Amino acid sequence: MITLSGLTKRYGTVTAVDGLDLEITPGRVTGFLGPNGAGKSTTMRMILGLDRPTAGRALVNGKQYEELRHPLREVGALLDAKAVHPGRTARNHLLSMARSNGIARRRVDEVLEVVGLTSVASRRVGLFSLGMGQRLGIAGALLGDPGVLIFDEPVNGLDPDGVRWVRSIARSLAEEGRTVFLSSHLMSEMQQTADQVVVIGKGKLIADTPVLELIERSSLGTVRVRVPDPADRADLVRRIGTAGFGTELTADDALVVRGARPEQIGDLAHEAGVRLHELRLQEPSLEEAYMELTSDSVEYGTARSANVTGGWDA
Amino acid sequence: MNDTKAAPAAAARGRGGLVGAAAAEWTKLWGVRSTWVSLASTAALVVAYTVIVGVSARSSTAQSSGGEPPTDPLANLGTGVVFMGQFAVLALATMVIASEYATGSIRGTLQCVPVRHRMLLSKSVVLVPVLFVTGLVVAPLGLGSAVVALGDVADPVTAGASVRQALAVGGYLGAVGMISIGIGAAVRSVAGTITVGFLVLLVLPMTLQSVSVEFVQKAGDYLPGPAGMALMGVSESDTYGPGAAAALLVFWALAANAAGYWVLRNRDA
Repeated sequence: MITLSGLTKRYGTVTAVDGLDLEITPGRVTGFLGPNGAGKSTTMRMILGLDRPTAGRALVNGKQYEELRHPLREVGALLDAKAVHPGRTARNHLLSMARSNGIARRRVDEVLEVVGLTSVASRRVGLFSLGMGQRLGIAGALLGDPGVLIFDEPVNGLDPDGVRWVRSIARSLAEEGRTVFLSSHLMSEMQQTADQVVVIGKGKLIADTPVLELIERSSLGTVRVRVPDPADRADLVRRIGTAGFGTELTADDALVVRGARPEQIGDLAHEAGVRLHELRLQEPSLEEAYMELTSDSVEYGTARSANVTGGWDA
Repeated sequence: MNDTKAAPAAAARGRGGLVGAAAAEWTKLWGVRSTWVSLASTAALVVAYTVIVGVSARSSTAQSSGGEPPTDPLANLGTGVVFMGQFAVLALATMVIASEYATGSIRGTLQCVPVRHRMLLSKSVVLVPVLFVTGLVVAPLGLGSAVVALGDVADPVTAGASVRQALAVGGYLGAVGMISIGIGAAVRSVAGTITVGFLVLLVLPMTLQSVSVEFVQKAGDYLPGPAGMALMGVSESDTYGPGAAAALLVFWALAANAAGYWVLRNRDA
């Protein structure tokens, strides 16, 4: 259980985290989303007692991180997988961590086995690939068998197999009743991994809701319509435009209508006597729902300037 | 994977706290090759210094040129530690703390040991004894090389004085390590720690002593480097004895660590 109350971090005049109130509960995976610079990493660092809050508190199991007697046995964290002395072996790195918190030596070999690094345990970490470093970071997080796990961008640099592996680890840790808090930029990945999502923008809480609810709430559902006859298609596009919906022609004979329900488009087609080959509701993805939520709070983005890339601002 | 509740209980018998933190530092210290390289370099530098000085003292005695040639092996050992050996120790202490900031691994260290004073103390708890023992090993090596290099111009050396000098070398190297750890925690960069360490240990005292204002010269005598020279009996000014020198070194070690602790407390990691 992670509890944030009024958590605030200011750097001079810049407010990185602005009065976050949040409870991250056990037994599920909580995804942590937000644009670059939204304050995700700062929040995680404050939970781990690395950064001092300007105001408010971050508690783990009701205590500040610094008050935990054996912190690794309560909180496992992966912040920056590359932050290991390159001359150290994987086993030495984990062993020093274990000793600091009175964790049995055999546990080092166990977690090396879990993350699949047993065969390279005696190799220097500097020779590790990005993916191997990430696995070592996860091994370190699992070392103390903690009830709370914090992963900052755990799938960075992992191949598709590794991404699936992280997903299954996060899922099974949550199923065991642990608190799993992870940030990621990969929306499709988050949609598959997280039960709950916390979205922040410019340091403020934007949403704290179940993933499915967030997606359903989005107004960005689209309806896909296929019209075989080009003249009919032009006619229908005009009618849909008049009805106040945006259309987008995709491939060959299909069009995508934003913000409408299938029955509304069906009725329009019926009135016009237009023959349809397909009329289908496309559920919005987490990515679309997220973009809609955060479009106002992108710190270093181009979202406000123009539709350069199209679709970003929708 | 084990059940959430059962597993931590099974692991709970182990220790944490300062003992655990020190055990972790010990593991980290011997887990990198550079530790051995630094310790071997300390010995090599001291031996090299005593050989150079000894050989040149022998030849200058032969030619009977001006000035008093350094023919005391114990003194040559002491100056070798101050002018050369201690900088390998500075480098080692820099690796123990400042390079953790360079690699970012300080954040991992603080996740394991979040209590700042405990984290900082654990580094000295491990490094100081290691350096003291290093001093006990380096001293006979440097003394031997000094005696051999000086040959028949060497002053006589008593066993008691040798033992005393070995303890002084160990004590001084330990102090240099602890002072450097404090500097590293305060400065947080490898280059910065080495620069500040070099200034405090060697350059600043020499500069102050060359200033022709007596008050400034006296102040220079109380810096760690001159204190180390007084401890090893190679001081140029006899402002204070070895006992006061030891106390001064303890003071500097504590002061540097207090500064480091202040930065640790007040700045984000």
